[in-house]
Parts: sequence; structure tokens; C-alpha cells
Amino acid sequence: MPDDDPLATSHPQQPRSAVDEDEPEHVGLGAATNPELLPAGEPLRSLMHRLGQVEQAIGSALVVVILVLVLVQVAQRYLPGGWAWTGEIARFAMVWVTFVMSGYLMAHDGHIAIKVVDYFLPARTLGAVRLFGHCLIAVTCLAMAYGTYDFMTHDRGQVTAAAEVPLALIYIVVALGFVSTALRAALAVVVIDLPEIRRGEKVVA
Amino acid sequence: MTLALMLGAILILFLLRVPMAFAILGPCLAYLIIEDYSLGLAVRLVVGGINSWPLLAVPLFILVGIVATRTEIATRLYDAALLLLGPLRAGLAYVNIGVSLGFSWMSGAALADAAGIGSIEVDHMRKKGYPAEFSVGLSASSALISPIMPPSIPAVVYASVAAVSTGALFAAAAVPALLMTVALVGTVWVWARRRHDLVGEPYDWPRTRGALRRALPPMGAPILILGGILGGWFTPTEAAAIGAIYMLALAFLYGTAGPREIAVIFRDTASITAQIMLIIGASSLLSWILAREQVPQAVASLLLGFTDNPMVFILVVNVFLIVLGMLLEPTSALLIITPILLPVATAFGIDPLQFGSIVIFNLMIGLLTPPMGGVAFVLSSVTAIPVERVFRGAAYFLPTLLLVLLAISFIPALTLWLPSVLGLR
Repeated sequence: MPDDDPLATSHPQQPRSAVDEDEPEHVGLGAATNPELLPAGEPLRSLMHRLGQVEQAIGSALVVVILVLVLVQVAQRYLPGGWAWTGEIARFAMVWVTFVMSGYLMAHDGHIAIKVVDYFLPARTLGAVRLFGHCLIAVTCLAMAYGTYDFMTHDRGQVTAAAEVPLALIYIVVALGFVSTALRAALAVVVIDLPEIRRGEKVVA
Repeated sequence: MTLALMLGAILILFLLRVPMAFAILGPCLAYLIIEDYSLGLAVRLVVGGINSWPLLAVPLFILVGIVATRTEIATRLYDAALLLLGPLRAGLAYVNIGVSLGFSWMSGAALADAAGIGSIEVDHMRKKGYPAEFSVGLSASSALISPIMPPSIPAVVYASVAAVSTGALFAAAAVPALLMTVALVGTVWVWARRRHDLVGEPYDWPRTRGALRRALPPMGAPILILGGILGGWFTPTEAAAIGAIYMLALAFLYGTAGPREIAVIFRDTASITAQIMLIIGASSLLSWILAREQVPQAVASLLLGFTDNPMVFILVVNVFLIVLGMLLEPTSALLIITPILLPVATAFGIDPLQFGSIVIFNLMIGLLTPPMGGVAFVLSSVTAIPVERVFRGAAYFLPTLLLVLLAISFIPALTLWLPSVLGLR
């Protein structure tokens, strides 16, 4: 697992205690997830890796935006005048973080799920269960992407209340997030589920 | 009929390891298509569920918790607790609870506590001769203090759904969280009476004083966050941002947050925010469908027909929520169940603040029990102790937690006294 994988650090490695110097290092929980699903040398692997990096960078930047804008909101209370748009953009940034990171989470099996079946189903059955789930996710995300397009075309020209940002700009990120998630789910079918069913061995994902 | 099929499909998809957000979204979209609604409505409801000012506190409290665990801050707390409580008999068990309590004032999620400091606590206890199951069970149980003690991420979510003040709910949850801490201490004390072998190290006052001094600056964060909210200086969202910037400043001062570490902290925050928010968005769509089908009213008339005694109602709700917490991730369970049960609870004369504390406490217990048991799985992963042994260890503390739950269920003053004193209700 590469060091720059956020899922490797979602359950972070703990800094060593100054009191008990002989504490061993611990491997983070994310070590079980697999960021590189495709075989080495596969051109799509590099593309997916880059896409993941872009999503992580944008997601991180949006968290910084949320932090800064909420702090500006606090500061405004003690300063003359005021920008009504800070709270609004902070809220939209949170919407964007959600959808920008959704595809990346999908690629790393990082969405919250009950994974009890992983412990007792044989590999082939587990592969079939995963295949079904990934297909369902791909279809759902494409339907949501279409719904976003539908919503945008019906509300063309609308802007947000305070910042007067076109609503289309807000929702295009949502649509892209769903498309990215559908893409990753479809990819998981090819590189995880089908090999698992064929080989009858559990793929570490 | 469509509704029953939709709910059944959601449950089956949960069990088939489909991520919660998509397990909810898929059948809900099918429902909308069958009922002839546009998919644009689904998108509007999902985005609308996330686009909320109070919920902005969620990523910011996640950020505070991650900064605490990824920098030296959590370690300073652990060192101080170790030197202060370690000399007691079975002192490491008290350290375990004390660190979780200190950490709970900065972090609002049980998983962050378990993943961040759980492995250090358990490894240290095992090295000193504590049974593995007891050590990991205590770590799992004490990790539950975080999502109950303010600042609590489930409380932020409940407050946004129930339309109650987040600050008031934080105040309502403080006493139950302290009660839970005391109850766990009591359980450890009873257990330790027979363990004469678990003697502590002698007190080393100079080292203890030094460790306490090192732990003082991090303890400024909860003072800023909780003092700011309960004192009426900041909204919870603002307090979370101020707490986050304070913790980041401390990490810079300690030299434990270089550019690479900062990048990882923000990426972690973005990942966990997306995990939670997508479930919140999907649950908003489900809640809309449940409201359209008048499910809350149906549940209300069913329960009101079953009993008119608030005590019986609370007991039934507790049993139901514990089972639900075993099956669902707490955030999604909270989002689905609050709009249904809160109107009924209000009809029974139960205060929404007390009800919120009861719901959150119930659902958190599910983090320790199979099959979902999020905290148990995380601890199993970071300590390499098989998950069934973690479940067994946590089972030792379950009666204690259930007693606390019964206390907050049947003694309203435990949840309502502090908000009243602070003028928040």
C-alpha cells in the first residue's frame, strides 16, 4: 500500500509513547485495502491512480476551504460589514467533498458497509455477492448522474442565494462524483469479482 | 407494498455487503421510478440532506480528532494518565478509561478513539499481564465515551434531524458520558479486587508533574470547544473550526506536523467526511419516502395503541434500538429512526434532548456487538486479536453499559439537568 493512501491512515498509526519507549510500531487498519487493483503495466492503472490523486487533492483542499470559511464567519462577527456567502460556500464545499471522494472510496472498498460475509462465505460465492453489489452500485450511480443532469436542465440559470454561484456548477461536481463511482464499481467487477469467481481464491481488496 | 419491498431490499443489500449509502439509494430510486417521480428529486433530496450548516461541524470535529491522533497530542494525554493513574492496582485499566475520557473531549467518534489509542493501550496492558480479552474489551467499551461525550458527531447528526440545539444536546450528553466513565471505573475496581498481581509502579512525582505540564496545552482544546459552545460564544460548527485550528497550531509548535503529515490529515478528514455524508444524503431521501408513506404516524399509532405508559415505551424503544444498532451503522440508523420515533417520544412527554441521548447511547452499544460491531473490528485489526475474542471481552462490560442506559432512560434529570442549569432549554 502506498504511503500516500488516505485509507491507510483513516485509522492512523499511533505515534510512540514517550513513556514506554519499547512500544512496537503498529500497522494501520487500511493495510488490508488494495489501492492498485489493476495489473502492473496496465495503462488504465496509471489513469486510475492519477484520478485518485486528483480526487484526494481536491477533497483535501475543500476541507481547508471549509475550515477557512467557517473561521472567516467567526471573525466577521467582530468586524464591520460581512460576507453572507462564506457559510453558503462552506456548505457547498462539504457537498463537493462528499461526491469528489466517493469514487476514490469506491476504488478502495472504503465506503461504510457490513462486511461480515467476507468472514464466512467461500471465495466464489463472495465474488458473486460482490459482483452483484458492484453492478447495483454502478447502475444506481449512473441513475443518480442522470438525475443530476435532469435536475440541472430543469433549473437552468438558477443561482445560489448569497454567493450567486450557478447551481449547475454545484451539481456538475455531484454528477461527476457519481460517474467516477460508477466507473470504479464497474472496474471492481473486472479486476476483483470476476478473478475471484474464476480462481476461487479471495482477492485482498 | 412498494414500501415494504423497498425496506426489505435495503436490509438484504446491507447484509450482502453493499455499502450503506448505495444500499439505501438503489431501492429508493426504484421506489421513485415506480411511484413516477423524477430522479432529479432524488438528487435534490440527497444534496439537500448534506447541505446543512449544523452538519458542517462533522468534518471539522473529524479534523480535530485526526489531528489529535496523528500528532503527539494523544500521546501526551496517554503519558500523563499513565504516570498519574498507573501506580494504582490495575492502574493501566484506569489509564485506559482516563485516556478515553480525555480523548473524548477532542474527538466525537468511537472509531477514532479505538484506532488512535486502542493499540497502545491494549499492547501495554497485555505486556503487564492483563488478560487480552479484558484489555481489548475495556478499550472497546471506553471508546464509546467519545461519541457520547461532547463534542459528539452522532449528537451533531441527531440535532440536525431532530431540529434541536446542538449545544443543548451536547450539554445533555455530558452527564451520561461521565456516568458511563464512573460505571466503567467501578467495573474495573470490582474486577481488580481479585488481581493482587497487578500492582502499579511507585509514584514518580517529578515525571508525573512534567507529563501533566506537557498534557496541559492539548487540554485547552476541549476548554475552547466546549466552553465556547456552552458559554454561548460560538455555534458548534464555529467551535469545531476554532478547536481544529488550535490543535493544528499545537501540532506545528510540537514539530509533529510537517507538510506531508498535514496533507495526510486533510486527506483523512476528506475521506471520513465523504463516508459519513453520503450515508446522511441517502438517508435524507429514505426519510422523505418514509414521511410520504406516513410511516412515523403509523408507528406512532401502533405504539400508542400498544401502551400509554412512557416507561414501557422507553423500554420497548431501548430493546428495538439495541437490535437495530447491532445491524446498522449508527449514523444511518440515527438518520432513519429519529424522524420516526421522535414524534412518538414527544407524544409520550419525553424531552427530545433526553430521547437523543437514549438513542445515541443505544446505537453506540451496537459498535461492540456482532455482526456490525465497528469498534470491535477496528480493535481486532489494530491489535491482531481475533474479533470473536474482542466481542467476548466487550461482553464483560455490556451489563455495566446497559445499567447506565437504563439510568439515563428512566432518570430524566441525568440528561436534562445540565442544559437547564446552562439555560439551554
